[in-house]
Amino acid sequence: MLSMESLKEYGVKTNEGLARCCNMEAFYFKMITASVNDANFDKLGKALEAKDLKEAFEAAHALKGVAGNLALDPLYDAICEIVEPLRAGEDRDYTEAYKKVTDARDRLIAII
Amino acid sequence: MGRNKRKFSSIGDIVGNVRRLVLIVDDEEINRLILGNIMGPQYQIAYAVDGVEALKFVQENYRNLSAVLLDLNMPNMDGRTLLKTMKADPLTSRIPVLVATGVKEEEVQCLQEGACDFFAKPYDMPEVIRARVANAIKMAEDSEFIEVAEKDALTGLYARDFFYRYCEQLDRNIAGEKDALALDIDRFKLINGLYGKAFGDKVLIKIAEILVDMVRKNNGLVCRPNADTFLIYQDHLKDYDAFVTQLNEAVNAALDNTHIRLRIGIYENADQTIDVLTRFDRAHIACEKAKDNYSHPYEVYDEVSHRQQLESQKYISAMEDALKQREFITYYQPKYDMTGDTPRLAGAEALVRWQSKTEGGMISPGKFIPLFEQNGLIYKLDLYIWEEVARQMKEWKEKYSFNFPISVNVSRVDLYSPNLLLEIEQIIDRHGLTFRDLALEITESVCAADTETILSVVRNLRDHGFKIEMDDFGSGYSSLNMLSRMPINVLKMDMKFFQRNAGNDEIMDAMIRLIIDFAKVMKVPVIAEGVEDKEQADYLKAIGCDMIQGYYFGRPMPAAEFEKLLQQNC
Repeated sequence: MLSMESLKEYGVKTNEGLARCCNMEAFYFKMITASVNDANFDKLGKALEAKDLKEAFEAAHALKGVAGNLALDPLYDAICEIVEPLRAGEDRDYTEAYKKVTDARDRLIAII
Repeated sequence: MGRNKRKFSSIGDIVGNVRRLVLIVDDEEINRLILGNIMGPQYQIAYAVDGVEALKFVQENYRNLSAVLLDLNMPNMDGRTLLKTMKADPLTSRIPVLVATGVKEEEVQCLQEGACDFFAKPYDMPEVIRARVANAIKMAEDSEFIEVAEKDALTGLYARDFFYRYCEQLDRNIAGEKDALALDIDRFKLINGLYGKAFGDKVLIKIAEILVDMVRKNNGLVCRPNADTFLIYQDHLKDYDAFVTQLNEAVNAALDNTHIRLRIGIYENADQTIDVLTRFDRAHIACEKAKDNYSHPYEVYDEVSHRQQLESQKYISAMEDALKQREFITYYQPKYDMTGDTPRLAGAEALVRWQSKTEGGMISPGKFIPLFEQNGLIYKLDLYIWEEVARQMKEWKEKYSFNFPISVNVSRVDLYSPNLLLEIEQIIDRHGLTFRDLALEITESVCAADTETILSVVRNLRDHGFKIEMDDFGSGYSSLNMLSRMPINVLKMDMKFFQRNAGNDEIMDAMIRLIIDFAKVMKVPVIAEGVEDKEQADYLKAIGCDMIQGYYFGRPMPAAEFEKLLQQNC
C-alpha cells in the first residue's frame, strides 16, 4: 500500500511530485502505480538487447520524463545514467545500467 | 447614468467564461495526464500521442484551438517537425506552441522555429505552467488587434475592425452556429432633424444599451460601425420573432414611444468558412430588403435574395455600356380601333427590350425596368427609347402615310426631372415631328403618389400638345377627385387586373363597364390592353371599348415586323 512515508523512505521527493499533481494525493499515487507498468521499461530492455540505440534512447528518455515528473529520484537517477550515453549514441554494454533501472523499479513495486 | 461608466459585455466577459481548447502532445501517457491535471478544469484538454496524431487534430481544430503543449521526443513525427509544419501553415501558425524541454539548447532552437515559450521538464510548478500558457494565449489573441480605437466613443460599443476580429475569436472559442445581424434605424436623419442631434445621440445610446443587454445571454457582440447602423454577432437563435419583438418594445419603452422603427437583416447560421465582412455584407443585404417591408420588422438573408442583389448590381453596371452598344431595342405592340366594322390599326405602344451580349440573350423587362425605376437610371433609358421611337417614326411617316401616335412610357422619375419637357421637345424637333406624334403613357399609380406636383407636370405636357394616356387604369388607388382633375386624353385598362374567375364574372364585368362609363363621362377613349382572345375582344367592343391592344391582335414585335403591318394597313 502506497503511503507518503514509504515513498519518502524509498527516496522520493514527495513534496515536489505531489505539487506537480496539484497536491492531489490520490492522483499522485495513481500515476506512480501506473508508472511501474510503463511499457517503456520492456521496450528499453529489448532495444538494448537488440543494440537499437535510437529506440533505447526514446524509451529511456520517456521513462526519465515520467520519473522526473513524479519525483521518483532513485529511478530517475538510474535512468539518467543510461539516457545520457544513449543520447550521445555510445555503443557500450548497458547491462549493468539497465539492471539498476529495473532494480529501482522493483523496489518501487515492493512498496506499492 | 454616466454612460461612459457603463460596463458593456466585452470579449473578455464572454470568452473569459469559455474553456479554451488546449492540446497536449506527449508519447508518455503519465506525462500527458499530469500536464492535463495541471492545466485544470478551466481548460478543455485534448491529447495526442505523437506528432502525426497532433497534426491531424490541429488541422481539424485550428479555428478554436488556443494553444499546444508539446513534447519534443516522440516516435512517428517528433515535436520539432510538428512545430515547423504548424508554423509553415497560415491556418495553424497563429496557434501558440509551448515546448516542454529539459535541455537548454533545445529551448533556443524551438524559439527560433516558432515556439512562443517553453516550460521545463520535470515540470515547473503548476501555477508557473498555467501562467505561461495563459500569457501565451493572451498574447496570441491580443496580437490580432492592431487598431487603436477599440470602442465607439458615443455608445461604448466595439469599433468595426475590433468587432470583426472579436467575431473571429468567438468562432474559435465558442463552437456552434452563429447569426450575423445588421440593424439600422428607419429615417434616422428625420429623427435627428425633428428632435435634434442630442436626442438622436440618446436614441443611439439607448439602443446600444438594449442590444448589449439582449445579446449577452446569446454570447453576442455588438458594434456600431457608423451612424445609425449596428452589427450583432451571436449564437444562432431559433426564434427571431421573439427577439425582435422584445427589442422593439424595449426601444420604444426607453424612448417614450417615439415610434423608432429598427430595420433588421439577419444572416442565420452564418457560414464560418467565409470571412466575417462577407457575413455582415449578407446581413446588410437582408437589412436593405427590410427597408421596403413595413409589415415585417426583419428580413432573413437567403441565397435567392443574394443572387437577386448580385443580378441587380450586374444590370446596373451593365446599363451604361448597353446604351452605348445599342443593346436596348424598341418593340412595337399595335393598337386597334374597334369603333368601325373591322378592327383598324390605329396606334402602337413602344416597349423596351434588352438584347444583352454579355448575358447572351434577352433580359426580361420585368427584371431591369423596376430596378432602373428604383435608382433613377430609367430616365436615361426612357430618353434613349423616346429618341429611337422618334427617329423610327420619322422614317415610317416618310414612307407610309399615317397620322396616329406611337405611345412611349414615362416613368415617375422622368416626371420629376426639371428638363423633361425641354428634352422631349428637342427630340421632337430633331426628327421633325410634332407633339401629337408621341403619346405619353403614365401609370395611374404614379399619378396617385404625389398629386399636385405630378398634376402640374402632366398638365404642362398636355398643354404643349402631348397626348396623355393613363396606363393601368384601375390598378392604382387614385381618388375619384384626382381622376376627375387628371389632364388625360386616353384611359388604358389592363385586362390582367380584371381576371375572371369562377364566381366573380359579374363583378369583373361590372368594373370594366364602370371604367368605360367613367371614360365616357371624362370624354376620353378607352384602350383595353392585355386582350388575349376573341371572346374578350368581342365583349369589349360590345360594351363600347374604343381600342384594343393585346396578344389577340399582335404581340410586341421588332420594328421590321411592325413595318410590315404598316405596309399592309397604311
